[in-house]
Amino acid sequence: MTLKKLTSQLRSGSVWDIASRLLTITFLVGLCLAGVYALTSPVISAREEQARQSAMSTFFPGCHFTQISCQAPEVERLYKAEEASQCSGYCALLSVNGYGGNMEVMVAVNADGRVRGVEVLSHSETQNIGSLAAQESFLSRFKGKTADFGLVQAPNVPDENQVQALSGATRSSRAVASAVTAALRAVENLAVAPPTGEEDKLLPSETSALKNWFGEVIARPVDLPAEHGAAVEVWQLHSPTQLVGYAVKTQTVGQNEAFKITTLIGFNASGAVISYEILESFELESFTAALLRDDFRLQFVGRTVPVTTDGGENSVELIPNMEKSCRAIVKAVNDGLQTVAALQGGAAQ
Amino acid sequence: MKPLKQLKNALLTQNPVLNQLLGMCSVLAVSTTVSSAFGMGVTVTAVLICSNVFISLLSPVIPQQVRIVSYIVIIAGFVTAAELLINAFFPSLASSLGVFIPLIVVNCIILARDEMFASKNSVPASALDGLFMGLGYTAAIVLLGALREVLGNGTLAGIPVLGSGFRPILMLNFAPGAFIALGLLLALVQKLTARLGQKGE
Repeated sequence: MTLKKLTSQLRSGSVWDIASRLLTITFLVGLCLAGVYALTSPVISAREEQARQSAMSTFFPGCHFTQISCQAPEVERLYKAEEASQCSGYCALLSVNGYGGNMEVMVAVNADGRVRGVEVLSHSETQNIGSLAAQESFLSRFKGKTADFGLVQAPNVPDENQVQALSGATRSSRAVASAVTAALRAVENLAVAPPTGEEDKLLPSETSALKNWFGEVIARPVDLPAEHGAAVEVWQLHSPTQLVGYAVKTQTVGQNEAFKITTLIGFNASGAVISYEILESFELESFTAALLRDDFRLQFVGRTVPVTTDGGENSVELIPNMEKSCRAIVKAVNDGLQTVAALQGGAAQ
Repeated sequence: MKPLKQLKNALLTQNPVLNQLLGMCSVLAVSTTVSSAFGMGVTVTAVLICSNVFISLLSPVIPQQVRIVSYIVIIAGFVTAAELLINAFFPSLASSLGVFIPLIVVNCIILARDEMFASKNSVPASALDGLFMGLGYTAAIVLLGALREVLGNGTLAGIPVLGSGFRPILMLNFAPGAFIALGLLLALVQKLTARLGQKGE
């Protein structure tokens, strides 16, 4: 198109007309896509989460999982698998770069630090070449390896602590191997880390909850009293001059029976509930959100005696259709109250 | 509107894959198994119907100078929506189609039908055209998928059909085998339709 033609079109307004129509079409298509995205994204993320959980349950059948903090940057999430409060191992979720882009890898590690199993949850490697690195025949080669294992190329025969790479798919093999190494290292570091008593043991979510309720406080972990119910950790919270309250972490069963809800409950110095925060939940997203909404949560604030659900004096109202999830919070608060009461009783003696 | 003629055109004499040789990329890539070929066929058909209807509907307001851009935007919208829906509700199909869902955007069958037919015809005729052309595409890709799966893997839709004595032709699972199989299929179809054409005259 010549300049002359363009200027004449500009003057007559037809370019603006074309541009505005194109813009309208593009805008409308974008709007429709936003609608479809809003509809599908919760389903997609729930499905991905479900895939992760079922991978974990396959590696450690009958165990329940709790997320633990992990310093290693490559590890997105680290779970501890426990059966009857015995640690049976760890599951690490990692994201590494393969040949065709991101690969999401789940590595299960036994309590003794050896690989229990590897699964590739998602990848975009070349079909029939790199994708073979996501199949059981390759992944099973990692079983039993320790963190110092090596990857060897085809003509060399792997020894005890070596894994043979897939020929033609070296980069995909390396990606999986790097994920396994990172997971093993992360678990190794856990074992080395000091067991208890450190303030920085608090997860970021726990620190921010405590800050909301108490401002700046020093959290000092204390031993669980004998009667602690579902409580798993307790802290005494101190300002520079005095005791300001307690924080109790509990794990209770809601709707999802395999994965417990982890709740952090804050108490003031006299043992009344200040608030609670859900640290981790495998309930439906909308359920978790409902449990945190004020109309349910405020029922617990200020309580000093265990709550009931029988409609009596100390009763709280459960949210219809999600009673199981609500009862998890009721139990968490009650066991927290019991724990704090036991601590205070112990201090008085 | 002549639905019967349209159907015969799309399936036999003007089949988008076997006669017009359009959309070869996805036909070669996604025809390793019957089930993924069928999934691809259905997805393309859905996108084809939707984009045909919308473009036929919008053709009076789409400026002539930027019509191709507008078509691509509309097609891309439907393909992205289809991809999200497949990811959400048919995860196993999503993993077998992989990168070829987004590539439907540049599948020339869809652009060709929008440019040649939908922009010049009524909405119902365009919807039918989308359906029939989609069926033609599905028929072709499923036919090739069946050929490759039976000879390359000894199964049809995952069910073993050729017994344990059969040694699969592994090459058919890869790109060169796809080209050879498609070439043979095209030759066969050309031969048959040529005879059909002679009889008609």
